[in-house]
Amino acid sequence: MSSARLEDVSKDYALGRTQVSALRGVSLAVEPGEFVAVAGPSGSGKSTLLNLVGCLDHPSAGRVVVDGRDVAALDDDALSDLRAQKIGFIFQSFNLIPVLSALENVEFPLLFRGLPRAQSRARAERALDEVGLGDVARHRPDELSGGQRQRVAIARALVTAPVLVLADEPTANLDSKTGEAILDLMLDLNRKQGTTFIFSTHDPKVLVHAQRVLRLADGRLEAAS
Amino acid sequence: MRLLLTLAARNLIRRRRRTLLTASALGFGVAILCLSRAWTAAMATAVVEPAKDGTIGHLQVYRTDAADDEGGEISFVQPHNGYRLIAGPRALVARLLADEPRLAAGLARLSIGALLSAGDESMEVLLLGVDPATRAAVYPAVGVIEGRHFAPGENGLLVNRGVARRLGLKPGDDVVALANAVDGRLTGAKLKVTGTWTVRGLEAYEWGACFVDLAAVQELLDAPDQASVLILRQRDARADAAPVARALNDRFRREGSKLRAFTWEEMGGPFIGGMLVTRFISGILDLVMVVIVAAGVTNTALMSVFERTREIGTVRAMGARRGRVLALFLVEALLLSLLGAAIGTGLGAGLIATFGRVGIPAFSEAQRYSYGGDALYPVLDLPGLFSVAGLMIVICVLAALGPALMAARLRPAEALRHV
Ligand SMILES: Nc1ncnc2c1ncn2[C@@H]1O[C@H](COP(=O)(O)OP(=O)(O)OP(=O)(O)O)[C@@H](O)[C@H]1O
Ligand SMILES: [Mg+2]
Repeated sequence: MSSARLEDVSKDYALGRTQVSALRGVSLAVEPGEFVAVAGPSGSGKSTLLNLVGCLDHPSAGRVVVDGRDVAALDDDALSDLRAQKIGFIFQSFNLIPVLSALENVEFPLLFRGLPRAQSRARAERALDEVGLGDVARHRPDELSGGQRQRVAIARALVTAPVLVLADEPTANLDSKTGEAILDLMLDLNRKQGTTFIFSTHDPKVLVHAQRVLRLADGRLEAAS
Repeated sequence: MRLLLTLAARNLIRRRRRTLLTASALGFGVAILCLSRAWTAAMATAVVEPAKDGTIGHLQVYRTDAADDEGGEISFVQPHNGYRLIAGPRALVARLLADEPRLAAGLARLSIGALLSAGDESMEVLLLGVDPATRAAVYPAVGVIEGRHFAPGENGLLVNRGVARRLGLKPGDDVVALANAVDGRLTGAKLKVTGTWTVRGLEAYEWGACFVDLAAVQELLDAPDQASVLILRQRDARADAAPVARALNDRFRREGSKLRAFTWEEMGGPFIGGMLVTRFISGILDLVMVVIVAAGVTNTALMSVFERTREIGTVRAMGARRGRVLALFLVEALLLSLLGAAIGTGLGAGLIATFGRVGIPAFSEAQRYSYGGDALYPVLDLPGLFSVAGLMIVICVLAALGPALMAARLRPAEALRHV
């Protein structure tokens, strides 16, 4: 079973009176344990694609299947639960909750699991150690560097042991060295834990890390490389 | 839930100034509501209770047709010349008291307009004929400023300050009262001034009436053993009078006696009217206050939602259901209103206690009337205070419901695109 599968998926946005076709008939499958990059220029539809795979949005046409489940059949609560259990997210601008410490941020997604407190605390600590940030657990996001913040975000995405981690331009807000390090970390976790990663980028330099690159242009997937 | 509370509390702390501003506004609102409640309650107590104890009584019994020759509407305030009278009122009072354990005392009263003359001076007055033997039990608040109460059979007269001034009267003076008997004949009675009366607690009022012996008024009207109204007093002075009135009216209907009992609220006229108007106006002001405070809370919640749109998207991406987002913002509003309510009850209690000690001064004669004296002393009523605070908390959480629902309904992808 594929981690995620798109079948002839299109997505249109209404922009005033005109329609923007962000995706036009995209089909793809990502298998468990893959480390996939979605590449393309700005506006090519990368974020749209990741949002659909991440069950954050519905396609205008076509089918989205995540971990074997057809997204169209699920209501909002069921989609939320699916995200909570199967999917981790990493964002371009980290999106940490500013009032929570690094550790609490990592612990946050476990909130929707109903774990006992000690257990979720321990798991969060382990995830934070995994990204090498055990010693800044009590720091608030604004006390961390960009690279550290993105590491916290990675720990947060992985703490629930998801089948799929989606990272929309995870390195775009980082200098190239830090970006490299973040991708290395993701790759490392992909190898060690077998988690499927899909990340998007418009930076050709970071593509070298990917096992497979999906090239998007104007909402269409180019021949796989 | 723990992390949710932490999150809400820390978000409030993070926006410290806004939180304090909103909570203070809320607290100020709660304090003002509490004070206005205590103020109206004190005003009601200050005027209505003495009025009940000094003139209205708790219940009044009239003939159902009492005012049929005088326009039909029974009035407690107007003179009862021309009213259809109750025969054998003393015996009737005795029977009612014997059968109704909730009643403590009663008296027969007959009030008429008459001309009072002393020497060359004369003036129209209202004579309140009451039974001297039962006066003290029914009208405990009627006191004398000067002189003494009159005894039965003495044909005594208690004047008010205005009459004493106009006619130059002092205790021991003789006056003549002229009136028309039931059949229209001119009648007269010689009365002896024994003192000047007032209602304790309502010293500011210049009463336009004089107390006389019921027998003297019966003589003037030539209506022996008759009265226009029975004034009854309940054992429990604070108990609702309506159930007793209902019981009495049932009894009158059963017996076929053409009598009707009214409560003090129905017959309180000028005393109750002021209280009702005050309550109504302060109710409207309370409502305005509540709306302003609620709007403040809505606004704060809206700002919170707008600022944190991307955070909402993030939380939703991590698997928070809509209800969780709703709860997040409602808990935040709840904490905010708890803080405001705490400030408000503290401030309100402090204000009421302070005014309860030093008094709210009356700045005009009109205020002296509604305060029943020179100052009003509000009483701290803790359960009342907490119920105001509790109500305010509920209103504020409801006020945040709109923004919270808005946050919950945001589509995750849209929320995440928000900058
Ligand atoms: N909510 C929306 N409403 C209207 N148009 C949208 C919306 N989201 C995306 N679009 C449009 O759809 C197209 C694809 O957008 P998308 O964000 O998926 O591109 P992207 O490849 O992620 O670009 P970037 O590299 O700039 O992030 C663009 O033309 C964009 O303007
Ligand atoms: Mg994008």
